Amino acid sequence: METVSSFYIKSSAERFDAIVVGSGITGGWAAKELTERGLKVLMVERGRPVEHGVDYIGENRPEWTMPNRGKVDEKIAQEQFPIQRQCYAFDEHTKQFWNNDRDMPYSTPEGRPFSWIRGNQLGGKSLMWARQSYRWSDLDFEANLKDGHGTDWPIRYADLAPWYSHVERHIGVAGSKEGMAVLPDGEFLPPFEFNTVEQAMKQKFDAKYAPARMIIGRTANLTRPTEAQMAQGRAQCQARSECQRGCSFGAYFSTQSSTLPAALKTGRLRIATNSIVHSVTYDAKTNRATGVRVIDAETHETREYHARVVLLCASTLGSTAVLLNSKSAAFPNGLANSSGVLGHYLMDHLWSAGASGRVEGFEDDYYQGRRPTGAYIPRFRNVVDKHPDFVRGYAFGGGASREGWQSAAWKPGFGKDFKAMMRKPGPWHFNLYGQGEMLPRYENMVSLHPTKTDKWGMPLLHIDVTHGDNDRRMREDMADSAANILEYLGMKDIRKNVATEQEYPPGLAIHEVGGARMGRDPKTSILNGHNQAHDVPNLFVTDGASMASSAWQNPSLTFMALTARACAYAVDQMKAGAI
Amino acid sequence: MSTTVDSARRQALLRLGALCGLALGGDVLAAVGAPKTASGPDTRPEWLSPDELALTAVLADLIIPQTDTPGALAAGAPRTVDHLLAVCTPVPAQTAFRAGLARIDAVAKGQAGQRFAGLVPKRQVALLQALDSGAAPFTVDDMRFFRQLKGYVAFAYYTSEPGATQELTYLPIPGGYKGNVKVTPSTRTWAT
Repeated sequence: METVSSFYIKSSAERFDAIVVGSGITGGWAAKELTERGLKVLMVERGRPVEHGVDYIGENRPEWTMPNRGKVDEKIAQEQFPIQRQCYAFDEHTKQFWNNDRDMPYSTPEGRPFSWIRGNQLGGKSLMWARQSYRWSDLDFEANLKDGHGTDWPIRYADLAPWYSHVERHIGVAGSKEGMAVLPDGEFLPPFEFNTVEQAMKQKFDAKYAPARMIIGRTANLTRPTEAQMAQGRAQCQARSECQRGCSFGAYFSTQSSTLPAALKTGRLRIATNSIVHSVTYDAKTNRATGVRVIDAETHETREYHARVVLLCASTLGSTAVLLNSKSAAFPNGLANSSGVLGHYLMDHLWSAGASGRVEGFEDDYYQGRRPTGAYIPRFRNVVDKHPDFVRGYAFGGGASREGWQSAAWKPGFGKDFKAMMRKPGPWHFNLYGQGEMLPRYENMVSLHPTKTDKWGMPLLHIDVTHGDNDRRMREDMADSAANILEYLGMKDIRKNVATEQEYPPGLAIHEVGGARMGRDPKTSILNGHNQAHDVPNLFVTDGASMASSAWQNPSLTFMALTARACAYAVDQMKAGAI
Repeated sequence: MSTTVDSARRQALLRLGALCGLALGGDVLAAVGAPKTASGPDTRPEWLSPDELALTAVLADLIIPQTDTPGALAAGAPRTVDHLLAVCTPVPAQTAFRAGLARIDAVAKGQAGQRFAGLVPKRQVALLQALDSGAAPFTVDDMRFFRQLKGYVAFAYYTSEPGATQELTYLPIPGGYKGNVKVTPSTRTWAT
């Protein structure tokens, strides 16, 4: 097989069948689906190339071999990564995968922070994502219609179900079949195990709170790879839980481990890295997108690529920014924006509210390996009952673990006894943290800054997102109900926490969605039920920008299913001569 | 103080200094009547002063001593703490660390007329016990500093190769996750 590097291009006069902007979770999927369906595809990525294995420079590096034991140089962090460093996965092993905030700034209104966490390389955030993979159900697709917040989704679960299956079979999702209506089962690899404390708490929880249930988190790690997954060059998860450093085993799904090998195998993929998409080029006579204009990240030169179809997979804010910056006489406020809603209805998940407690007993029980997932309680609010304070709901993630040496600072004592105490596993703790659905609101929006530009001359994004009343009430309930559950389960020293928006700004759940939402009505939405622009038929947006609501599940699996489905539709439309 | 004690103490300090790659100087050795030793350019600490590094080393040795496995000194913890203070620590925390060390010395001088490193081990332990519980003459703020210091020393030690692989159990490639493993007398905390 040819190496990845032989597929890189710079300038090209070729008219491709399709251009895919972005190479992360959705860009990789678009490249795979379109090339496998016979299209000649150009993938355009603003960041540098990252080759599977070779460029995972933080992998297989014990802390004592790292210059700063895994910590990031404070000066560098302050000056270059003030936003990215807020992410739990940002450290000395992974810092090469994150956006440099000094080079790529954005603005927010005074007192209304938004933390935009970005990858900036081939593979995007697929290299550092948290891998949690959950299907939506009709509870989610019907929510906007039923309670009137946001616009009705033009699709339902039945439209997406086969595409979820298609995606799961390829990427590999470890999970347990549960038969729960709120969280449809998928095509699962064997689930990760609960530990002993979680198993005991699950039994107690399920008995008390049925139909709610504690399950093991569904994650895109290969517990037992299929032959097809091994053919991608992937191997079984080794339970290192160092996924964000990159995994040479290819044991978690990323563009590099999974979709890129599939797309390259077709011989029909070309990749242009260090290519910042300035705008989508548009021909008003034919009402078609004609390609993209890019700025070279290194030389700052501009060039154009051309194709019959353009798919934006550049991330929620990235794709929205490209559309906003694609201005013409026909679309003075951004391409495909006749509705005027482009940039609006931004959402992120409600996060950082929950509780933790100490578990008594179980001193003889421990675990081995670092499980790349946790315990999970799917949504239970507003499923059967109606909560008086808010609409929609949330899930809990969490689980049990024993204290290790990291708790040394809080332990009394020193000397031989202290050392002997730290040698033995400490007390068990259990935590539950919520992930809630944020309502789509018009005033939560992103726009182009009227005057400020970055070093490539691109207008900065101005991001203005706050939590609304429903959001705030839900976060309070996350912490209250987490504490109540832990109390029922018999925990001691329960600590409840609801971080403020200043402490934990919107964006930091890294599940930002919306901005170019799907909908049934071209007057109030950007995309139709196939992620196709209402206004420009050969333009698609298949990433998080397309979401009309956030639901409560981690969004990436749904992004992938939407992308695969949109690609199949686009190819059919091209074959039929419609686009 | 007898000459024998002074000499033994001086030898111990020099050993300690050698372990953390430090040519001891200044008040630390002056405190036990030793002649001043010139420090070479390659042994200078990155952020702490030589005396502060020496005090950090004395404290690290008391917090995580050598037992059947290497202690904080053999693991190079004082140098690691100094490096992390220099490179990875915001200014307020740097300042607090320096102030915390100075406070320990000030109390030692007030109580025993000597800096902490110059006290006999028994006296050092007694002072640290007071510090650890925030008992007089120490304050709750002093206790907080000691907790912070323990955190630094523990981090430096347990992320070192001997700390992770000899004192704890280090499993770079577990191969899979087992949710139920019984604790036995030989079980040790996972290093990661």
